[in-house]
Amino acid sequence: MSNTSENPKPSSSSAKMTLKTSDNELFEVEEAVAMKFCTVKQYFEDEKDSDVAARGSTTVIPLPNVHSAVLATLISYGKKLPQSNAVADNHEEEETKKKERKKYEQGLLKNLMPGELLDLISAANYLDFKEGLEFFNQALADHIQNKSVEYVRKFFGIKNDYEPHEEEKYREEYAWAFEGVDED
Amino acid sequence: MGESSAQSMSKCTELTLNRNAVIDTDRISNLPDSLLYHILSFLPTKEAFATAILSNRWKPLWTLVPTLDIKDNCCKKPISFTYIVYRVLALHIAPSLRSFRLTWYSPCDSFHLDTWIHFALARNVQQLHLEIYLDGRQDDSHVYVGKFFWLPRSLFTCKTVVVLELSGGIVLNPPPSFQFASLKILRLSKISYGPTNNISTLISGCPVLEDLSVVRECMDNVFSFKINVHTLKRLHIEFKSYKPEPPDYNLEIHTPALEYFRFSGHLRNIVFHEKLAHLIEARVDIYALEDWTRVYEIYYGDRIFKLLRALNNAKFLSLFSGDKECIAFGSIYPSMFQNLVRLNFKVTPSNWHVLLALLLVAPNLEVLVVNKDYDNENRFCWMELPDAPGCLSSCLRTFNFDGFEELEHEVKFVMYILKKARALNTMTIKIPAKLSKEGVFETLSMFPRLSTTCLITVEKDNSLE
Repeated sequence: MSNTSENPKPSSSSAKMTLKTSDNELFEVEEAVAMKFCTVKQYFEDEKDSDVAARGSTTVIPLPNVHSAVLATLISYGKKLPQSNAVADNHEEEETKKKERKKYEQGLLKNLMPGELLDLISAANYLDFKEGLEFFNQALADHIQNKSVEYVRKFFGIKNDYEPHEEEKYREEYAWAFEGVDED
Repeated sequence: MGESSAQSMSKCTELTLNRNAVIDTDRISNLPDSLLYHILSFLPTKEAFATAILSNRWKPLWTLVPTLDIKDNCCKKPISFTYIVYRVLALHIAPSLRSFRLTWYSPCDSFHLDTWIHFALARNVQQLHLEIYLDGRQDDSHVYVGKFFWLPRSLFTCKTVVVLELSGGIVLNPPPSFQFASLKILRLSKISYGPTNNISTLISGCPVLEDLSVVRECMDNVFSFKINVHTLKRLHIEFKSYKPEPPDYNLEIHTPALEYFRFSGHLRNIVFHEKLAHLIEARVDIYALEDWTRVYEIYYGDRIFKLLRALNNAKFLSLFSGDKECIAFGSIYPSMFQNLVRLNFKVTPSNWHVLLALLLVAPNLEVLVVNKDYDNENRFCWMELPDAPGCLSSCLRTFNFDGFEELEHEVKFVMYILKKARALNTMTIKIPAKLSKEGVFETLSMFPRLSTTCLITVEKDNSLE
């Protein structure tokens, strides 16, 4: 019904959208990538259905809960994902792309501060960016795997509000769960 | 879901304001429950359980994570770990399970494993992964001969399972009529099938199956089954055996919707009863032990060509037809590989003619990758057919040869490609360390080539010594 877009499903890869962050920075993003942020997708679809005619690439979508540095990383990650409209690759090409993506992911996670990781997770959650959440939550889980309770508390600043005798009882009763952790 | 996202929005405002602060404030505990469940779902249950002690906020979280991953703790005495598993399952209160994984390697009364599987079924489990070995005995061929675990009958009435993965010392014993109404992905690895046709029964009870993988390492006697699934898109068959006699089997396949086919192991009788009109990719790796070939060799080539003929609609084909000579009494003709765009071929002294046969029937081939192992004696070598119209001429744009040793027939082959491929853009040759890059490059540059835009690259193969 909109008078600007002819197709019901805009699939042109050159169509762009503009996202505005909490610190008022504007990001121009390819539609295919922006649509991976389901919150953005929903906003875009709501705009199209509304009485105000969608102005295509001049629509600016506000993201008051996401800082520019965080959005930049999420967009960069979104670009590296396999695009849904891509032609089917054969197994070898898929494997090569996977390796490249792995390398990029490792670079991304290296030296990431816990605060930054949590920012990315919160933003990915707000944006409903499923692949981003999957990746960053897995990264967080990988980081705490095999670590001692003390390490995890320290790393995330979690305050231990158990009484000492409570904690001791728990550790004794469930000793098996606390075996085999890495040295701090 | 709506509530938690509203929560996350208000929390996010706080978090973004604090983003430069060093972590002395506990931000992770402020994340919404749904996010924390998601994070904990990536951990084995043992670790998720341990997070209960981080603080009171964390205490109940692990009990609502929709995944359980229970791994046998082999160090402890089995009986006390069994008690722990019961305790964990009793405390876990998530109403439905996305995934239940049970990995068990020590002696245990089957009754306990049964009970735990029932627990998962009662929680509407969607993905079930069972790897069970009740003890560790193996025979000389490294085949498991210990006690087997029989799956509980109630498993076969599960309406919610979408992914089922079974591996180890498990006996497959489906009741004569049952249905896995939601099952899309089925992976069977090295399990026992009991009397014959259990596997056919199992497969025929999966009306929406899309992805099937069957890996067998111990092939007993003659083994026949049917795969009759009209929704199947991906099929992976791996039949290997370490016994002194070669395995014999009959596999009848009705999968008209198949898109991806992978076969690895010993090739016997595989029959595709319906045309694979939607086939996109096929990968075939054939192995044969030295001792087997005396009697069975004579039909080896026929079987390979028969399989290839069935795969002629593929866009991408990767083929290693094994070390044995495949002297075929039949051939690939009259099948044409009209859709074939990319061919990965592992060349041995015995199968250059298979490569030639494929090149002759693939007029639209764009990418050719040839791999060769080093140190092979030459038997059947490259032989150019004098009249091969249309072959390679208009579409081939990329040609890679890994393992080029400047042997006479290899040189002839490369010359043939250069002579025929008008559209060739890049040719990449990988050579072993002993040869000189510059020397090989010079030699290749002298060959006459039909394509004026062809770029030749010579690389050293650093992956081998």
